Amino acid sequence: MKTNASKFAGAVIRYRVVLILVISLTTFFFIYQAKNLSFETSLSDFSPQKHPYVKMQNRLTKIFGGLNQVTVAIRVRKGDIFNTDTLNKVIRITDQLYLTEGINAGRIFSLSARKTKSIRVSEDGFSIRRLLREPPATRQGMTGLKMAIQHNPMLYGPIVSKDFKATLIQADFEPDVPSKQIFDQLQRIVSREQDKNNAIYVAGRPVLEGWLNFYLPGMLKIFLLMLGVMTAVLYFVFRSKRGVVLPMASAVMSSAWGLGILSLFGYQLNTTTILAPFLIIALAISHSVQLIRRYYEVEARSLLPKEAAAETIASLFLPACISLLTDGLGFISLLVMPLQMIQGMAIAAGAGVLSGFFTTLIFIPAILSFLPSPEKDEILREERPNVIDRFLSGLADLVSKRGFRFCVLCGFVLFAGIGAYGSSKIVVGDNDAGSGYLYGDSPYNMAEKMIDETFSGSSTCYILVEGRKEEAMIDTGVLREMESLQQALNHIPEVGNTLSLVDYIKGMNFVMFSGDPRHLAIPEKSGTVAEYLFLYASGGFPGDFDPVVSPDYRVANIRAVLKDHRASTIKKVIHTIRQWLREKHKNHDVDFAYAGGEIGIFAAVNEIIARLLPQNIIQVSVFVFLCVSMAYASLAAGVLLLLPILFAVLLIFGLMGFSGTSLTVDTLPLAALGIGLGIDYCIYVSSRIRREMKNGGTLEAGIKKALETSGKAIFFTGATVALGVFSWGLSPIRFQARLGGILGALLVLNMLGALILLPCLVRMINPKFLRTKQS
Amino acid sequence: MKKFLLLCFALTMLTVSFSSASELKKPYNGISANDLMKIAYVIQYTTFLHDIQLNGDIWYISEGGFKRHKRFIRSRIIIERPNDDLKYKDMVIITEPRSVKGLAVLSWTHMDPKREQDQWLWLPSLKKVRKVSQSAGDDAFFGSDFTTEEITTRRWEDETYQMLGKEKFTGYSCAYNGKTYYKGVDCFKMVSKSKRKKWYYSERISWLVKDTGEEIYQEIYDSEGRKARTIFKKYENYPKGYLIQTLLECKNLRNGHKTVVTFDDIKIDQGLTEDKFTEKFLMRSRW
Repeated sequence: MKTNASKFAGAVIRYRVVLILVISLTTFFFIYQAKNLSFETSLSDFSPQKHPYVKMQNRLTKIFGGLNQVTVAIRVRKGDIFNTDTLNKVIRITDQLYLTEGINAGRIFSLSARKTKSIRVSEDGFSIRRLLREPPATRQGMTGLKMAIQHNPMLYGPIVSKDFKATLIQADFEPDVPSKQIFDQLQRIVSREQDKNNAIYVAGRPVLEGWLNFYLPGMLKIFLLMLGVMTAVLYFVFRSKRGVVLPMASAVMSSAWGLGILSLFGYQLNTTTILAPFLIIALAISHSVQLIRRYYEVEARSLLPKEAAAETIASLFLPACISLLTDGLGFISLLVMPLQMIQGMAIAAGAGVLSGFFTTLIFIPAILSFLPSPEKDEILREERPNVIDRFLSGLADLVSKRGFRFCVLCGFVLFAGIGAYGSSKIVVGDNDAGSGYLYGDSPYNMAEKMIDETFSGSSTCYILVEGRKEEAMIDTGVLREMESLQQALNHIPEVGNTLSLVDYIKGMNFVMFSGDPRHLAIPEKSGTVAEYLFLYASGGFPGDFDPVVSPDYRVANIRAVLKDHRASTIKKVIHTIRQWLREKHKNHDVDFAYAGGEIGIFAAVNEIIARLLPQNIIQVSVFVFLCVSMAYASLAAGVLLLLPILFAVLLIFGLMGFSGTSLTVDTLPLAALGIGLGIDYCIYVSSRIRREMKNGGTLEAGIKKALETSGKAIFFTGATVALGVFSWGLSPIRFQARLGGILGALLVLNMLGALILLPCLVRMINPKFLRTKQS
Repeated sequence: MKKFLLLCFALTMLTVSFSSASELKKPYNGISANDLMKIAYVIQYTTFLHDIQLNGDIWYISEGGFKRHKRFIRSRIIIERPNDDLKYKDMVIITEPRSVKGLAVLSWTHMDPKREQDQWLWLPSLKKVRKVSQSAGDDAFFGSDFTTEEITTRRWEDETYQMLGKEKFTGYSCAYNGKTYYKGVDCFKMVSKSKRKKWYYSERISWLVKDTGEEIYQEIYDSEGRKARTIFKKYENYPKGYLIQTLLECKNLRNGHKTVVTFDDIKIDQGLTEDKFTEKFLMRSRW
């Protein structure tokens, strides 16, 4: 009686022309779709849009702007900034920014910005002048400017460094301005102004996106390099045209399917989706290697090409389907991650891998059935034992020894314990200064580092203060609460400074009372606050006061600038806000919402990682367990095959914990990919053992045969996939390199688990599902 | 007798003052750009009047249509007295929003174009008068899209002028009320450039009504030569052929923000006296 696999194989061969045509046309359709893809990184894809902090940030952006904020820092090498040359640079850059398309002129802040004033107080009044229109011509003028800055807490520290060697220019672009445009414009401005004595640094979200987009096309070179290496590997394995061309063709087709579907879903190529073709190609080649090896094995019995192709499909139908399903759905399980960047990769890689059912399992045997049978030499060459065969044969011998199995078991228990202990030490969130997406010595991170170290910091945390009625911010009670929260935040050593409407009001009061320090305080009457607000807003153009308070004075914000964005700092800040709200917030006319800004987004991502990573591990494990259990009709099969994979995951997380490598957004897809891809190896080994036992062999012989045949394929597929993933290590984007390094190591561990741990466990347990006669 | 003589003297002075102020010149054929702009400034600052009082509304309209409103009373007395260098005095009192009702600014403008205005600010909640400095010409006027000099401080001497020719004005469609003004009116078209080396605009192109000389529309170009803002001014005829601004609209072409100023309840030459334009009056008044 024919099995389902045989029926399927027969159908494929019968309709092979139609199938080849349909698969080819579909590939062309997806290539046509994929032409719409371009490089476009948006950091909003890296934040969970439904998280309360991110929602709050989006509200803040809508009310106050600030999404596309950039910081340009000028640092002098000799002397201080009070020289004509440097001040002229500040003026020119500021003026240039005012004239730049898409700028939010009200949010430009620098020494020469139109809203930066110098206030001189006298007995009967005060005079307000633009702080810096042109560099003072005299030494006295320079000293006067320096004094004016030194006496202004909003400038001295936040805008001019305490040692007077550096100054900042901050600007904000409208939300619809593409980061590439902002990045290019800033690079042009900077390149004109940079010289021997003035180093210029640029940071901010659009600049980071610009750098990521700048580096992304470099991945194409790495991709081509990977293709070259894969071709060489395939040639090393098969030493035949069909052994190289067919897997490569299948891999490229799967990639086209993945990218075409990615485009249909409206995604673009970014730092994560660009990794999908690497994964798809590596996986497609690994499945192709299994298929072509089996084809050669079958052809050794001198069958006709059609028969050999059909038998190849039939014999690999079950393991190929399970592994394609676990790989593909492992990726697709990542859709639960509320980050667009992960979802994009999940769609592209999931679709691409699942397409392997057509482009590998059907397409390759269909084409093979048309090709003449391989020459005897070709088969013998492929079957000839090499160093890997000898290693695997030796390994099979070792597995049959009780002592070796005992050692492996002890190692397994010991390392599992170490892994569990290490995992408990793992930190969620960034541990380093600068952006985790790039290397520490990248121009962007150098700029962030310089700004963090020289000024009050660059990581911002916003608290939204929302009144329940118009002009709520005029109420002195509300302002006192805001001041109290600012004071609480200022007690945190990592907080560089805080700024809110309160500081402006206190400053105005100080000026109105002739510079009497006792009046550097919130006025007693709300009417006075209203008058100050009116005067302040009247002194600027529409929008100039918008970053601080909404035009109807109903909503305001508190900005805390942090010196770093380490997980511990974020926790401290969030905890302080929570505690203050619990204990000190009494005014019912106003609500405080936290936490916006970069810190809020980091906090949201950290929460997502801490919550979803274990959840995703469980989810994928359960899914793989069910797939394997159903395929083998045995719960024991599910447990046994999952064990080496979970062991590898535990070990990797343990190593991360011991080495101080924190869990960041790039590690989110790790478990799903590791488990989804790693299970393939166990499936191929167990399928082969089962097949050998079904054919009447003993367990020991089955293990030996499995390691010598499937083991070799696993070794090459493992090496191929790991190579593809490790190639990300060449990326100038640290995010990709880190994921590549950790995932590659996980895949190697998975492969070793399938080749060493699984056979030992199988030998010790002798599970029933391997002895089952029925498929 | 002494009192009578004094009264006669006062009346004579008042008449002289009125008659000198009321000489409103008109453009003529072959008028130069400089002379035409002198007429435009006389009309803009109503220096042909003795005094004027009006209620004003400022509407701040964002690109998305969000509107904010302020209302004020403005009084001006034209003095043009060279011996104490006083040109005119202004008083602006805020009446809305209610939270700042009574906040007032008193300004004295001098004949000497180089001399800054004297300004005093009255803060009703603190019951304090503070002497404040004049805003810079390129600062915002009252938080609006207009600059200070466009409304109060720009003088004829600040710019150079060049006539571009005559043309029929195509009409201005007012964003505030949707009406079209001055369509088909014969105008002089001229270009004005600031004498300052580095200023916020490179040039402004103006349309001035050919028969009367008021500047009704301007296009303001930034330092890179891009059109940055437009300003429209609507004038209405008052007795004696006086032209008074009743509507101003400034559009910021880069961010879509608009400011509209409308004037109503305009009273001219009521005989306001200078004692209403002093620090003491500022402190005593309740609005």
